[in-house]
Amino acid sequence: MHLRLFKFHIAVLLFSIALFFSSCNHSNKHQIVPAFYHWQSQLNLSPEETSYLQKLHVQKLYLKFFDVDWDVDTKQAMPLAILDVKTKPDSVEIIPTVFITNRTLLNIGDNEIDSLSNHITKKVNTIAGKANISFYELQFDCDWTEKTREKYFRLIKLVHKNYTQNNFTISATIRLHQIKYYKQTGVPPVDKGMLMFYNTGDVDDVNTSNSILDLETAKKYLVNFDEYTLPLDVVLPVFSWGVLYRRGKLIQLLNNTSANDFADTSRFILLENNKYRVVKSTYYNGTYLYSNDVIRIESVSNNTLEQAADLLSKQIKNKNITVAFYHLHPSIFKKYTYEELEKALTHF
Amino acid sequence: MKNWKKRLLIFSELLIVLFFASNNESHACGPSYDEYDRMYRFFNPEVINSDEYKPFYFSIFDTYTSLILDPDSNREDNLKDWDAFLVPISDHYLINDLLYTDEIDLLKQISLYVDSEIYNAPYYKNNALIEKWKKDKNTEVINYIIYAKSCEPFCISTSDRWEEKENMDPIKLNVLVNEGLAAYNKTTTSFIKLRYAYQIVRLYRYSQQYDKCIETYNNLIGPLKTNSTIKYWAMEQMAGAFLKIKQYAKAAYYFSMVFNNDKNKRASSLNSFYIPNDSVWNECVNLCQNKKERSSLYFMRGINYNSNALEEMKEIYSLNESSKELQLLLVREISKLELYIPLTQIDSSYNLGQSLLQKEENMEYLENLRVFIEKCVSEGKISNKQIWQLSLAYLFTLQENFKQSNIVLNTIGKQFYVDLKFKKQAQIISIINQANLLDKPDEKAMNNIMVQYKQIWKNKTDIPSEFYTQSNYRHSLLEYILSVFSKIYTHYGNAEMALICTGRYGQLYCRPTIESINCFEALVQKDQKNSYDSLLLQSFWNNNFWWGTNDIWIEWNVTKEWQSNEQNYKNSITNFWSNYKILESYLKELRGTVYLGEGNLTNALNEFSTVNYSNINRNTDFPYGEYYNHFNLDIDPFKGYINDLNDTIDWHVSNSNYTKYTYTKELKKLLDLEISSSSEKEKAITCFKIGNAYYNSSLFGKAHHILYQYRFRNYDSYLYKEITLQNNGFIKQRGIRIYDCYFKANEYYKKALAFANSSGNKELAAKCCFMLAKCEQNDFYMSDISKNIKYNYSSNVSSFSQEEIVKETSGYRSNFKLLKEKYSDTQFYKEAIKECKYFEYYVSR
Repeated sequence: MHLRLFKFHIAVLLFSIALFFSSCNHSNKHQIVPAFYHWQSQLNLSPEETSYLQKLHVQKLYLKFFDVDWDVDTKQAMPLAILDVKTKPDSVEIIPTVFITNRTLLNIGDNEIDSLSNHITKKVNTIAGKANISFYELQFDCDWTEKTREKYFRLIKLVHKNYTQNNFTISATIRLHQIKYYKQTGVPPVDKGMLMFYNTGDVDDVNTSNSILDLETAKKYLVNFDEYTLPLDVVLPVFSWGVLYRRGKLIQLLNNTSANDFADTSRFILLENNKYRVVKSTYYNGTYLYSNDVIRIESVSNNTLEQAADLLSKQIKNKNITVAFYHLHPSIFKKYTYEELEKALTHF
Repeated sequence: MKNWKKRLLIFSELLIVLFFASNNESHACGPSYDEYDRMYRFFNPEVINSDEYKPFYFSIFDTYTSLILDPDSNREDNLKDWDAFLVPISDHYLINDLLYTDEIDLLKQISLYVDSEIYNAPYYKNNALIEKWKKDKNTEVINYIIYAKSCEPFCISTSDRWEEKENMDPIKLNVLVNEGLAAYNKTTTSFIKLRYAYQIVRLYRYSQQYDKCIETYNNLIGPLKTNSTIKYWAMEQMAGAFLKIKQYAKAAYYFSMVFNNDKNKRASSLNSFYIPNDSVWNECVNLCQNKKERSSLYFMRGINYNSNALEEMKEIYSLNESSKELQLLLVREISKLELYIPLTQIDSSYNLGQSLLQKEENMEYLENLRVFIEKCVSEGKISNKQIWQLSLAYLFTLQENFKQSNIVLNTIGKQFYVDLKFKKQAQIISIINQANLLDKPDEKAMNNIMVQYKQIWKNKTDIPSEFYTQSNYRHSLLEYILSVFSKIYTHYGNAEMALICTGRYGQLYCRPTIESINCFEALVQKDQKNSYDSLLLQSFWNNNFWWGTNDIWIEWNVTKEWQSNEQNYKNSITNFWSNYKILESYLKELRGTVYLGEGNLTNALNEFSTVNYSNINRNTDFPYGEYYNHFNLDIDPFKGYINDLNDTIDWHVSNSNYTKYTYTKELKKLLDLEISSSSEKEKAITCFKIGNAYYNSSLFGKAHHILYQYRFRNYDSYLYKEITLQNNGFIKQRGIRIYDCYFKANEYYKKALAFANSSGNKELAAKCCFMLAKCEQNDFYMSDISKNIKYNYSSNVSSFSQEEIVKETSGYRSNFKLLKEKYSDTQFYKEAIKECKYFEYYVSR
């Protein structure tokens, strides 16, 4: 009997120890919801894209519904690049996202914010209605400044008022500098923020090695997270681009480029690492490149993604995090297998 | 020293101030500039007198963008066609109303009236044109307009893009197309045929039936021998259809045709001109029927905002040397180069890191462009050779080859100077060259340049183009010429004139020199002011208004605004001269302050004694009243204070009986007494008072603003950029100016302590000891260790704990130790413990 009791106590003790270590092990871990951004004006996912999302267990798709930009002719805020939904993916939650240019807010009158909020609400609802999309969250993306902060925050509040359902969430993208300098830039009146962990380097500078994600620069901005009041989700970059310089000046970003595009040595020569010089003027995806132009190809390696995830994981206080990747495009499949992105997620 | 946190806060502020006072400029923390704030524009693109292409002049301002999309211009072209068609009984206004204003119901009433005896057209009773139609029973025009109005809802995209666009009803569309086709076949007038065809093409395009759109254009419009505006409107629709079905070469080709033939569709066709790759480009070139068409393709590519259009210019030149489009690309390239060429940069030191590479590459591009222009000029096949010569002269100027620029200018025939824009452009280039060719400060030659400058802008009617007014051009040219003069003065060691040429009046109040004050005063007092003197003073004053003390950015914008308001400008000049008496006192105070700072008390007293600030309203009489007058002092500067600077002092409020004058007088008296006195007791008190006077007027003291203008301002690295960069002596002097009073205070406290001890005045010795301890504390603040202490203002938390600070300051406590060991029995010792937390902490350990 004693022996049995002793065994029972030993078992309880071992279980308690196991539980203790188990809880210690996971105390810094977050509950992750994998997500993706879709930033094109037509939603028509290929089977490959759908399969990629499924394998990665993506549960949310942040779908850009439209941009709001300032129309200089009519002097009004106007929707642009309005989403055309051809096919809607099943089994993922869709979060409509609206990108607002800062110049819209700079130019718009204070008395027009009200009507803009109604326009945005109506447009979002119409697009969602036509595509039979139910949504419980709406996200705003805007690189607001001190000058536009007040209008932007008011706009968010007004749109929020238009959605009276219980538990309806309004979120907003947050840039790193908006956390470091949150006292100056303000905290948007939203339920949660989506921290964009990219565009950290100086893209204007031809000598920058990677403007998409420079971890050393990013580290300098990883402050004040403990003081920041919003729960934060995170978005990591899985895009690539070419940065085109002409006579030392940034001219254009060439989307979805890869080194292979510049393999033709009769037109391009490799200068160093990720930089090419145009040796013969040529068209490239609709852009005319002049002889002597310099193109820097930028993307983020898996290793860097994992390091980024590590860094962020230590900063984010909230237990549940949506970790999104920006953005869904056929070019990413070659660069990142779903297992690799999954590995990055495990760092949270 | 009641609160060490507060002290730390003040100390942190001090560090910030010292940081800015250092010579290392950080642009990152400075104001941000737009491109147009950093560049001069001296070349007017309108000099080519080609209004047709005016919307496409390169501009970083909004100067020409409003011309690109003028909705009324399309309408006018169409109405002109109608006028020509309806002669001799044309009615421009009637057609305008029928086409663009009237409702379809009214048009139907008119049609009924024209076709029958029923009179039901009250709006146009007795209109000659309608009566003519009625007389001829001609309903062709009115029925076409009715048809066009019926098509409109299907073809005009809603201007309110927030609203959803209705899908086109295919049945209604079919009916409309058939109706249009029937009318097309029925009418024998090609003018009306063309319009029906256009409507059908448009219907197909908007209903996304792109093949039918193209087919209709080819079948219905192709055979019509016409060059009407409407043909190109229809062609634009077809080009759009080609774009949609990804036949890019044809799309681009037809857009280029529209661009060539309809000036009002240039912006939209240019916007749609899309070449994805080289093979499409080659295909498009092959579609061209002649050299002109090919040349246009290069033009459309070269007109891109960021193009290197020299490549396209060479292609166009090889196809058609006398192309007018070449001229446009030429002036665009010059305007673009002005953005990056050192000569046209307002502040070449700004953003230096990035512009170095740009500079080299842009200079190379400039040279290539110049060589090409030279070739074109020498071959003589271009049209308007004088424009090319003028451009060549300016490119030499941009290359800082001013002599060669003048040689080129002299080759231009005088007959071309009849054109006002041309003449002014040549004059501007000429005076830029003259200013740069001066090899020494020659005031006669400088005045001559200013006389020419004034001639350029003699009358308002002399401004032949909005270019000059919209870019604050007039001011920029003066500013530029004076900056050239400033460099010459600097080179010859005349920092005072250099300052007046490039500076602002307010700079006189920041660490001035006697020479700079005198130089300015002499200029103001000069009886016979020539053009140069007047413009120099106006420029110096015009840059004057500095609102607030925090941000140069504010001043920059205020100045810009100021320039645009001529009346304000005139008022400011009037105000300036009428307030000379006040200005005189300000300059005296300023000069006295410099003498005081330099220790020349006799001269300081001379200046201060005649300062007269009575009857001045400091808010209105002089803009610097509030910010720069520190003549009256807030405290008794000869007393010793346990606490230093505190945040309750209002620097601008004067509430003590002391002024700078009485302070200087008393200080001089004490210094004389110190020498003449033989009593150690008296010497002790005198030295203590002198020590206090120096300490209080030092950077750390309560009356530090006595020498405010003399010592420094935290942003003077901006103000004195030109001067500091070129005059190392100034920088050295700055270091002395910051700390000299403080060092003197230290010296006198030591003397006072020695005399107090030897004369047995223990209370005074304790005070001296404490004041020396304060000096030690300040030494710590200036040390490298203290730079590592960071203070978080939001949370009131220091990166160093109080204990750590105490540890770090232990090497700076010899006078606390002395005070504790030797003077603990004095009354002052008790008072110091009560008031000073540092000392209290030190004693309690």
